[in-house]
Amino acid sequence: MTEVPRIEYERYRLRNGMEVILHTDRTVPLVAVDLWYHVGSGNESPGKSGFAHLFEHMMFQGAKHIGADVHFDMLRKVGASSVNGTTNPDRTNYFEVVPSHHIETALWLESDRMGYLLDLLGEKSLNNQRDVVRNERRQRYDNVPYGKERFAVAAALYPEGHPYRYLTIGRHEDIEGATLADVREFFVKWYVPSNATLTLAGDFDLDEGRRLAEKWFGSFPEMPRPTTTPPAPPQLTQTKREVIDDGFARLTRLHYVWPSPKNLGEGEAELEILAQILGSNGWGRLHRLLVIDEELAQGVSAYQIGRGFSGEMHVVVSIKPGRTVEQVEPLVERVLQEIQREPITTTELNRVLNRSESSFVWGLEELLSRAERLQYFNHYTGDPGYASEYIETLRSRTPEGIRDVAARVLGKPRVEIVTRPAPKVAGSDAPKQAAG
Amino acid sequence: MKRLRIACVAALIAASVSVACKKERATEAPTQNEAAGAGGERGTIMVWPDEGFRYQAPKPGPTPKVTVPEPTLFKLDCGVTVYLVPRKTIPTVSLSLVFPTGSVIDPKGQRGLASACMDLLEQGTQSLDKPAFEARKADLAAGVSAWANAETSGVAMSSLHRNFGEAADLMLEMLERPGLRERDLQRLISRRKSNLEQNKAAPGALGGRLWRSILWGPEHPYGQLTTKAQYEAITVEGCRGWLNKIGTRGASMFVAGATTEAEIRTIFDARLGAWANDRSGRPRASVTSTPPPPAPRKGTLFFVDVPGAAQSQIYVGHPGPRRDAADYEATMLMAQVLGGGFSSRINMNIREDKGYAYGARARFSYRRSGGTFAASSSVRSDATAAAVTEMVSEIRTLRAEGVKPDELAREREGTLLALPARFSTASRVRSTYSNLVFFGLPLDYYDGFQKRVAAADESDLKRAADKYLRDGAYEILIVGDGATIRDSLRALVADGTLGEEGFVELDADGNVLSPGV
Repeated sequence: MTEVPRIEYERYRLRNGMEVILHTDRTVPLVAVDLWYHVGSGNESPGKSGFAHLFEHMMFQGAKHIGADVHFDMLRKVGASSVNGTTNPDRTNYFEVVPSHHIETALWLESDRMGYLLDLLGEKSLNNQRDVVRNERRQRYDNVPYGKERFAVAAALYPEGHPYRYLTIGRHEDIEGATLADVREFFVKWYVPSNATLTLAGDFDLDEGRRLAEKWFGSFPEMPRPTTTPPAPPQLTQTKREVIDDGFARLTRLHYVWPSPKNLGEGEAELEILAQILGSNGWGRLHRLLVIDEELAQGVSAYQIGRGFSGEMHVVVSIKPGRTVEQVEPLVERVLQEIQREPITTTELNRVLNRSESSFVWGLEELLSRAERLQYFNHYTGDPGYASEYIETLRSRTPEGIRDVAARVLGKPRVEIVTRPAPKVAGSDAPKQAAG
Repeated sequence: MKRLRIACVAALIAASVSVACKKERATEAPTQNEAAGAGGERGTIMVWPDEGFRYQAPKPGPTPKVTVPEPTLFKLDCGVTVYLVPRKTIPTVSLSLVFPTGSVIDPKGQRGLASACMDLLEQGTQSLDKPAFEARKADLAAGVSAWANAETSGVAMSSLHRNFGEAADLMLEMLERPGLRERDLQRLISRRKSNLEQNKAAPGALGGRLWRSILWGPEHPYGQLTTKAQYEAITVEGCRGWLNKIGTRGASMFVAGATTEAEIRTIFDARLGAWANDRSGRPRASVTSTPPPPAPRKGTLFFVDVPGAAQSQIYVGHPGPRRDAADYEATMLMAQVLGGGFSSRINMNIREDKGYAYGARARFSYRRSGGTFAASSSVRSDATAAAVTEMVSEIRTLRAEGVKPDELAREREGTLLALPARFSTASRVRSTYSNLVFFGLPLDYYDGFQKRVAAADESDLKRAADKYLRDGAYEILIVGDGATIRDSLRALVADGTLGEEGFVELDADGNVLSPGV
């Protein structure tokens, strides 16, 4: 077994409650600046789907002292790389890797939008970013094969009012309906110092890092950290099956999803292992049976997605031209039954552990991915260094325990989405463009 | 928890220091006292400070000297040149053995041969079938792969250092005793054929596939499209033939990570030599050929109808310079201003001003035998013609007027300051050097690069724009919903200013449906 290297770090809070995590590595003259706000699409209100992500776009539109729409421009000028922000159901992150002598440029930009975003907020930039985000949805979901399937899965799993129902990207009509008042309200509630964690990783002196975090963020006021009431986890009383037509798809696809434990929750490690046992290229049980031995499928994947409130366990089979759902499903069922009945082998288990440990080590290469790892574990467990415990958790799982979790999760009702290619009726869920 | 509490004390000490720290102030900035209490918006009780130092960009520390790490160079006995980037930050090794040939030598009617045959290597060895081969990789937590693109092909591995020897063994076994099973070939051909069908069904993938055939020309080795029939013509025998065309003489090996020359020699010297020997026992060289310059397809605006498409995929371009052109740096800086990154003119126009798209870009791309220029975006259907007009207008404006001083400064300084990031990890250094070797550029290239970038001025960029951007005679490809956009696209090329070769509607395979306007 590999000794997984630790990332050394220091964590503390400013007086206003903002968390700071510092990790120094003086090898190359770069610093990754990574700011997490502990709010995501999972915190959206009904009718406001897509808002957390639209808001993330607004964070790039400028703030009082830096000016309008100059974020990328200024960072380009100082040689920054990996400049971006992303939104998921649980959190929103903003990051840039800067030459270390420009660490303050990044802190200036980040602190300005935390403190002074509303000073420059205007109708024009909101109108523009609504269009941009709707284009992002078209590009990533409406104009690609199997985009519809993603919405169908969520709609079948989550009832109206649940924040996971319309995915992080949201519905066109909700994005279109977002107002300046929504932006203000969201900012005031969620983007407070006590709901943020700043991570600096790379070439800086620890004392200097503390001084700079204090200089740029320390004078911000202390405001209560917003709280959220988790929605009830999805419950399926019976299996739901839906057949959808997709004009961009060319292979029939079978997609099963079970409600599963939340991220790092009880039983999640077992499902992560199980997903690899089922879906790994070549040796994974479903992959081998359907793709290699029986030649019924072109691809198989299995994955567990753990989110803050609850999770989803997925099994996806792309069926070869000329083969049918009817041929595939009994075989999938056979493997799913087997894995709930018989413990996996220790060879399979060790294979998965080796791979997980190795990918942890590779994840240490880039400064930004180290910063992201510290943030990730800090967000979900309150311990930035939880990686070692997580590996320990994986190592201590047993074939019998994995079987039991499989029975508990995969033995329950599920969502079944069948996507059929529909060559002549290509289309999207996007409402018609307004004229002009 | 204990660690957290101690750190908090440190933070408080640091906080008291910061009160005394110097404030830089712009002229219009209020003093700190005046600003206190001017919090505004965020609630009545909480006070947002407005310190003077927030009013101007912080002064950077001294610019660190850029040290470009040089790879260690040596030759294996069989003639392979090794570029080793030793770095022990993490206990990993990644390695690729690169042959200087690829699909450019695919026989006529068997386009896709090199790529499919390298894929066949990944299906297992004589003693390990596909499931056993994949299981072995997983047991070692290693990546072992093979690939071919237009002008390079090769095998690669990556693993933790403790598995380096075994992972390298597996990679070598794949080369020495490949499985080459008929059933594996049929499975991967079938997968490629349905991928091809899938790629023809959605606007983004369809556009990407056809664009190079339009820009380079359908007969050009970089432009030829692989068809179903060509895939079906590929045989195991054909793959044996392809494998005999790659050899160690003239090949390169790029290695990064926690290893040494001695370790690499121990693993590879004898075995690689034996693998590629020809009949006389000499290391075999790879067979290759040099493609001609681009010969774009006849037509100005090519259109492919995908009914119901929510967006149109747009490409506007023309042939460009070679990678080894003396004014490469000026060309690159100019293209950055036009369409590289978020701040570029095309993105700021198409996305941030008009809201037509999620993003838009323009850039020069290079292959070994030549280059091309393309501006591209995926835009809302009803804005398609308008977006093309805006993109062309940005190209023409830059060509006519050149760049502004602040744009030049941003890109020039940004490029120089971004150099350390290019060399920040072993993997990045390795790919930077493999790129230099691919284009036949010297290993000390980045010394000269820095000097040339630093020296580039507005007139250099203007000259590059004049020379390498066109004012007309564009090649344009648009994939989108015909019912919404066809008429507006015909109108776009009616007056001939974008090019005189008219509107051409194609099917998803690039065959002409309706020539002429």
